[in-house]
Amino acid sequence: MPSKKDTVKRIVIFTVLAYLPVYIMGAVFLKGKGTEMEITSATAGLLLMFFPTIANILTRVTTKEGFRNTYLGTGKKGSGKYYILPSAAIILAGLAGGLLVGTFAQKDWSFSECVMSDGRIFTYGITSGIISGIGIFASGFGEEFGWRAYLTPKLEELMSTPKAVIVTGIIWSFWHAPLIVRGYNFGVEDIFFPYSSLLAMTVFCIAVAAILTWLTKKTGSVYPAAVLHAVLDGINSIIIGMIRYKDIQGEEIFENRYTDFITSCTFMLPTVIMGAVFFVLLFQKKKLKFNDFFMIM
Amino acid sequence: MLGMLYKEFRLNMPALLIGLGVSLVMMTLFTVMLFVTDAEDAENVISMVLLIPETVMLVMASATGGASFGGDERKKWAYYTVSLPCGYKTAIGAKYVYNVMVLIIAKFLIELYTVIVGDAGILENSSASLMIYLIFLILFVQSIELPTIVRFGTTVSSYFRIGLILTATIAVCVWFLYFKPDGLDLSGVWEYVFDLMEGSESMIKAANIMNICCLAIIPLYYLSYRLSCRLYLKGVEEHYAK
Repeated sequence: MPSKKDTVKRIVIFTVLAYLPVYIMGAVFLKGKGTEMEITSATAGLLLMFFPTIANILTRVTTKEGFRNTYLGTGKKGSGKYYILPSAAIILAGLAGGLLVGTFAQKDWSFSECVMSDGRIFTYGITSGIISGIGIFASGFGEEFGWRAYLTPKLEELMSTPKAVIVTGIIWSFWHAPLIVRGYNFGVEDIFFPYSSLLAMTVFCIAVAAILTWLTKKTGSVYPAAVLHAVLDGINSIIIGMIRYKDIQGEEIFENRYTDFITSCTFMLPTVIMGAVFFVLLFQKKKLKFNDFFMIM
Repeated sequence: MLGMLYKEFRLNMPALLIGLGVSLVMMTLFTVMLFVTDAEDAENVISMVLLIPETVMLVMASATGGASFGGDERKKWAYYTVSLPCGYKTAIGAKYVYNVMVLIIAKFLIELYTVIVGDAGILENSSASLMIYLIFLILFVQSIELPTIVRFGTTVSSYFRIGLILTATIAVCVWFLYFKPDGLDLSGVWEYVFDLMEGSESMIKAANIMNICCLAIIPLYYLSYRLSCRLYLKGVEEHYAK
């Protein structure tokens, strides 16, 4: 077992290597705020999500850690269901969030008037979201190989799993800070912006980290978490679109009753609740310990 | 499984690198050639033409997956994998997973190339997002092909594949010649495609069919793996060399 000092050193190196490129790229390539926010380089936008993976690899190389416990296997026997069921659950959570947004955060919203009520468009939206999520699996892996396959296990060497999940969630959310402070996810209208946005993102990241960490520990593999992460990214914007638009072209939309911040928080609520459930599961006594993965790999 | 995956990547790395490298060179050549012509609407032409090397890249990546089965067509290797604690099913599973991984890697390279070229101002609209549908098509073909490779060996399965392609080609030609009123005239097809793109309802219907078919390929690929596991030992005894 490595010493605590080595573990802390590796965590610090990993965090710096994951943060630095994102913050630099954010400063150089991000322009505008709110709905006018744009990333001026598509290459930077694509590569951003791979920096946790690059940080994982570079940390292992520079600290001579080697490549054990990488979580790169496909998982224990019987892990197949964990590739599909959690993704289905996250889609349901997204749909629940969408319905909450429509009911409470949109003016004069009615289900029958939004495009989601059309079965064909609903099918098109969900299937396209899943397929586009599968299409961006590489990006999901790029993040998860860093956060779940390296940072969380390293933190577990220093603290209990629930605390490790909270710390990972905080680090993960502030990794998004260059985007959040420009209105990504939560807009710029809230009076406590950007602090409220950062806080909301932290809560969301801790919740999703709980789900992804539970998945990774249950299967011993990073791939189910990568699949879930990719599906989450692919499906959420489509669900919000289906709730907000009155027609398929998107020319008529329901107006927000509140700020983008409130709308986003309402949308994320079911996912946060789901994350809380998985957070409780992480407290289970019969949990896989770090060393068990030596046997699996 | 991880060790088996590492073995697949390690042994097929030269072929994979050559396949991906050749395709990247093709993409670069096509892009440069069209860009220097300074033609009107060059960006959209480049986007359409790049579909060819992108397809080649995905096909070459998937070919290494099929080749990984051929490389282990030896009784000695089969007996060895059966004796391993993880068993031959893990070895076969690793090949199926390797197939998917190389396709994902190829798609990522295609996306990376198109965004770099887009940032350089050469390409306006990328067709890279369509590649996911081609990946599903490749996985569909492999779902049928891989169990035949496992059961009958690469030589016999290649005859089977050629036979299927020939049969399908002849059937399509016969259909066009004798059952389609316009014969080989494809203008009716293009009119249908343009109507499809203009009419949102029919476009959504077509997209739904395509998306559902793609998602159905996932369980089909898994069933193909299960079938391969079932057929493996018989194939080893009857068709594999010593």
